[in-house]
Amino acid sequence: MTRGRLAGLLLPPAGWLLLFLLVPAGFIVVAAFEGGGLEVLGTASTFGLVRRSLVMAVLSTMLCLLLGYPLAWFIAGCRPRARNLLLFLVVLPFWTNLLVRTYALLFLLRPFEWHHTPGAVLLGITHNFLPFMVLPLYGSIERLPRSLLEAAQNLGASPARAFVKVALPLTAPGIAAGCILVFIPALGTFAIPELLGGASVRMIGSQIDHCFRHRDPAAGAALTLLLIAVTLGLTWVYHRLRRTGGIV
Amino acid sequence: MGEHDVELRGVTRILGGRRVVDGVSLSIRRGEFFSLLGPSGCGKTTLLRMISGFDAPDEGQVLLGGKETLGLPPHRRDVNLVFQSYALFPHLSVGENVAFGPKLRGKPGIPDLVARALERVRLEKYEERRPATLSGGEQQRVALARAIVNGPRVLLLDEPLGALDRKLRKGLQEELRRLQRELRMTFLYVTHDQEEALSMSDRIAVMRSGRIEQVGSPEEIYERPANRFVAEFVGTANLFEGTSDGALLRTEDGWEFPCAERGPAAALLRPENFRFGPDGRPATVEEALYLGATTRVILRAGARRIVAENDDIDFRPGAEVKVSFAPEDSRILPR
Repeated sequence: MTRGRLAGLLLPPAGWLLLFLLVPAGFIVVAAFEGGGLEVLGTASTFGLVRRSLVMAVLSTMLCLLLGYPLAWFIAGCRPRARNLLLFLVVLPFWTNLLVRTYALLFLLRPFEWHHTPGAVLLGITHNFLPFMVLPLYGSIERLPRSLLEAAQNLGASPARAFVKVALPLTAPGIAAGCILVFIPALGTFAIPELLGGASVRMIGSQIDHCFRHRDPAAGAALTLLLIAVTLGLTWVYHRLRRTGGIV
Repeated sequence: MGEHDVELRGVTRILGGRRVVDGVSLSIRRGEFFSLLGPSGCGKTTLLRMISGFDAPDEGQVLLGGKETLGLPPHRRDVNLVFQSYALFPHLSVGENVAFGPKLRGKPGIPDLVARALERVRLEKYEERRPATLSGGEQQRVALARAIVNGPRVLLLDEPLGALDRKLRKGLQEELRRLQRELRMTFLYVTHDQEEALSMSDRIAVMRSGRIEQVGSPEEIYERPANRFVAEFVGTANLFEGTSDGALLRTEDGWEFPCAERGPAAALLRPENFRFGPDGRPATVEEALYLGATTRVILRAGARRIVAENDDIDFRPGAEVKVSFAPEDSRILPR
C-alpha cells in the first residue's frame, strides 16, 4: 500500500479522534482553569472522594479477581462445547443496558434497605465488570498446559503449591490485564454509585456528573482532569512494571 | 519384597466403558531398564499415570517399593516422570527448573545438586538459560536432569524421544542407557518404537489393547515371541501358516518346518534366517533395498511374499534366486 493511500485511510479516524476527543478535552482544561475549579482539588471533601473511589475500585477489582479466577479456571477445563456456552453466558449481561441492570439491582436491594450503602455500590461494580476480568483470565488459563501442573506435582508440589508456583506466575499477564480492565472503568464509573449509592456513597464519577448537572462545570472539569491524571499514572506504573519484569 | 521397585497386581482401568488397562501384572526389579512397548492407545501411558498417581486403577494394586499406593497423591510418590512434551517451566531458568524438586523437598546443598545433575546430562553451561532458548534435544535433557536430581526410586519416561529427529534420538538413546547404568536407577521406559526398546532394555513388556502379551529380555522377545502379535510388532516377521502332523508343519505351498504339536499353527522366520545358495526354493527378487550394512530383499515365491536380509549378495530386481533356511532357526507360534 502506498503512503498516500494509507494516509487517506487514516485521515477519517484521526479526524474523528481529534474532533470528538481532543477538542472537548481542550474545553475541559479551559473550564477547569477559568472558573477557579482547580481550587476544589485541594479541599478535604475531594480528598475523601478520591480516597473512597480508589478504595471502591481496588475492592471491586479484588472481588472480581477472586470470583473470576475460579470461574475462568473452571471454564478452561470444560469440553469445547460447554466452554463456548459458558463464555457466552459470561458476556450475556452486556445484552441489556447498564442502567437496566443497575435499576434491577436497586429494586432487588431496596426491600431489604440495602441500597445507598457502600456494599451496594461494591456489589453493583463487581457485578458489572466481572466479565472484563473473566475473559482475559480465561485467555491465559486456557493457554497454560496442564502438563506443567502435573510436572510440578510429580516433583513434590501439593496441588496448592503447584498452583502458586506454576499456574499463578504463568497466568500473571491475564491477571494484570483483567485488573486493569476492571480497575480503570470502576474508578470512573458514575451510573452505579449514582443509583445504588445516592448522595451517601458518592464516587468521583458520580460527583463529576453531579457538578455538571448542578451548574458547577469548573469543579466538574477539575475533577475530570484529576481522574484522567490518576488513570494515566496507574497505566504508566503498570507498563513500567511490565517492562522491568515485575509482571510477566 | 525389597528387590521389586514397582509391582502391579491385576491392574485394570476402565475409561468410557472400555478396559484401557486390563488385568496387568508386572514386577520391575531394582536397577532395571524396563520398557513398556506397544502401539499407541494400548494403555501404556495410562499405566504410567497410575504409577505416578495421576490416575487410579479400578481394580488391582500398584505397589511402590513393596507398599500399596492407593490414595497416595502424586506429590508424595517417590517416582519422577519425564514427559513427552518435556513440560519445562517456561518462567524459570534451566537451573531453577532442576532445583524445583529439591527445593520443595528441602534438600541441603541445592546448587551442588543442580550442578551435578546438569553435568550428568552434559548441560553444565546452561544453568542461566530459559527453556525457550534451547533446542528440543537440550530441553529433553533438562527434563531428564530435573527428574534424576531427586534420586527417585523409579524414573518413568513417557516416550521421551518421540518428538526428536532420528539422529538425535540415537544419540540420546545411548546417553539414557549410560545414565541408567551410572545411576543404577530403575527406569520404566514407555515407547512404541520396537528398535528403541530392543536396543536399550534389560526387559520388555509388549502390550496390546490394555493387556500384556509377553514379558522378557530383548532376545527372548525377538527370538521366541509368544504369539503372532509380538512376532509381527517386534521386528519383521515372515509367517508360514499350515497344519502339523506332530512332526512337521506343512503349508499349502509346500514349506515344511519341524513342529511337535499337532494341529494348525504358524512358523516364524526372521529376515536374517534366510540363506541364499544353489539349493533351496526358487524365488524372484521383487525389490532390493540397500540399508548400508545389509540389503533388504523382497522376494516372491509363488503367491508368497518373503522379506529377507543379506549382507554380501548384489541383488537385482527380477533376478531368480534359491532360498533356504536352517530348520532350527524357525519358531512355531500357536494359532
